[in-house]
Amino acid sequence: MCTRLLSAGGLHVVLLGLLPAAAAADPLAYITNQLDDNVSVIDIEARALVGTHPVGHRPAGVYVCPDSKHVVVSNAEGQSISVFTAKTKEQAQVTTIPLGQGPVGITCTQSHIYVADWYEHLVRVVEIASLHTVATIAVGQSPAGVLADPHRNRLYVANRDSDSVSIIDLADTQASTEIAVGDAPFGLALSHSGKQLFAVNVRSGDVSVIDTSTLRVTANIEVGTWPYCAIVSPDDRRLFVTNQEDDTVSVIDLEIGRELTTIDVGETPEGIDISADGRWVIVVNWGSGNVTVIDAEVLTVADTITSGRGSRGFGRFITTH
Amino acid sequence: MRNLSVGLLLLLVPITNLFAHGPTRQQVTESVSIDAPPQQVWAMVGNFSALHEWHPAIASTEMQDDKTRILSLAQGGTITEELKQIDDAKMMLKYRIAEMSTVETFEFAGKPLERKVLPVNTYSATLSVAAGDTGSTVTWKGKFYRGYLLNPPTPEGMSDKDAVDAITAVYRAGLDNLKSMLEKP
Repeated sequence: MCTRLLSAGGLHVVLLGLLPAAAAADPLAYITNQLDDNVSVIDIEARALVGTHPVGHRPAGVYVCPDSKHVVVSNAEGQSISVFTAKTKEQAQVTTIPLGQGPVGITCTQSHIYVADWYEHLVRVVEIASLHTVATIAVGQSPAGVLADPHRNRLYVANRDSDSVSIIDLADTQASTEIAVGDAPFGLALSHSGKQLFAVNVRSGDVSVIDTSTLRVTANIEVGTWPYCAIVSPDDRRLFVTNQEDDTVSVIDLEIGRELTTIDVGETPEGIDISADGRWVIVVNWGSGNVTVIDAEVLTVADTITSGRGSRGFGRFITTH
Repeated sequence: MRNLSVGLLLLLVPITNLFAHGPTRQQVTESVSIDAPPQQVWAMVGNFSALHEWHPAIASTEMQDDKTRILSLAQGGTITEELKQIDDAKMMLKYRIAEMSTVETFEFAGKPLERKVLPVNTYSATLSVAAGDTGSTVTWKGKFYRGYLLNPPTPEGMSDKDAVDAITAVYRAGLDNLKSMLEKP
């Protein structure tokens, strides 16, 4: 159920009956279903789909903002982004604004949204309060994953077709740096300490480990075929990586720097995130249109929940992460 | 480590990339029920060098090596495919398109563009046989990007829909013919 409030000049606002991303609530996973043009909301503890909400055309990227009030979604073919704002306990407002030619990677800080444009090879900076674009930052070719590091006031961008990662100083974008990683980096993950950045290289089938102080690649960890995205456990001991062509997740022991085991998941796994307590790893399966819940303590599959066609969940999609 | 302005780097990297793709990957799943035992169906479907024996659009198959087949199409042109995985116990095989012949080269948005025999990029697929209620179910599942890699508008015949329609037609033609061959009295 949704009520259209306003639709003028491309701006599109709807009210949805949905649970907001409240900090105290049970963790929810916001899953972009790219081939269904909607977002599924899954209650992780209850293992249940609690809502499905229309967004723009072909949603891909998603990010739960650190203010715990906003969830942002990139609509790749719709050339727009959708911003979910919690209004009351039961309702959220969804605002969709046109943005760029191919918005894919998306992330946010307390005040701003950062959107990587696949075709325009830049990142747009959008102020959350006004939803106005306040800056653009040129990056490498076909930028994919983006992550903000508030402690270092940086933005990290994986440039898929430049085989590099841009390290952007948000205080002075001209002082930014680009470093070479593996072949076709897509997803990025940052350790909780912020000391290590991980770039998942789709074509070389490995993960580049970047020391964020020296900005050097310190290791390349082999994973499966066509790896896509990764997430670090809250204790920084493990890295989980989706392998699209193997239908598996690689579990990396970061102390020894190698793969510990692999876990069979659904078909063509893409997005991955972990609950704040580190217990549940949620894997988004594009091919089978569902999510796999992995118990991170015992490294086995606890459940599988249907989400939608072409599920991607590209970004950090769990609330209170 | 290169220490350059990211703005400057935009000018230094190559504009085209062989493995570039659009933002939305497409998927097609088609299946057919066949009144024949799964083992008998898999004997045909699981033979990577014999697609021409049951797919009406394929004239012949030439094996380049154990895992690479070159399909000659009935309408002309070739598709080179690589076997990624085959599992006789699960009756499942995975393959990808490595290369396709060009139908025509034309100009679009001021640049030369090649039209391939199928309007898809980065294509991979799974063919599997499972026991059905009576007989077998064959499922063909493909994932791919559209033929045109850059941002819209797309040239005629190279949109997301064109890619999905073309692959759906290929799967239907093959599965329907397989059914009629195996159910022939």
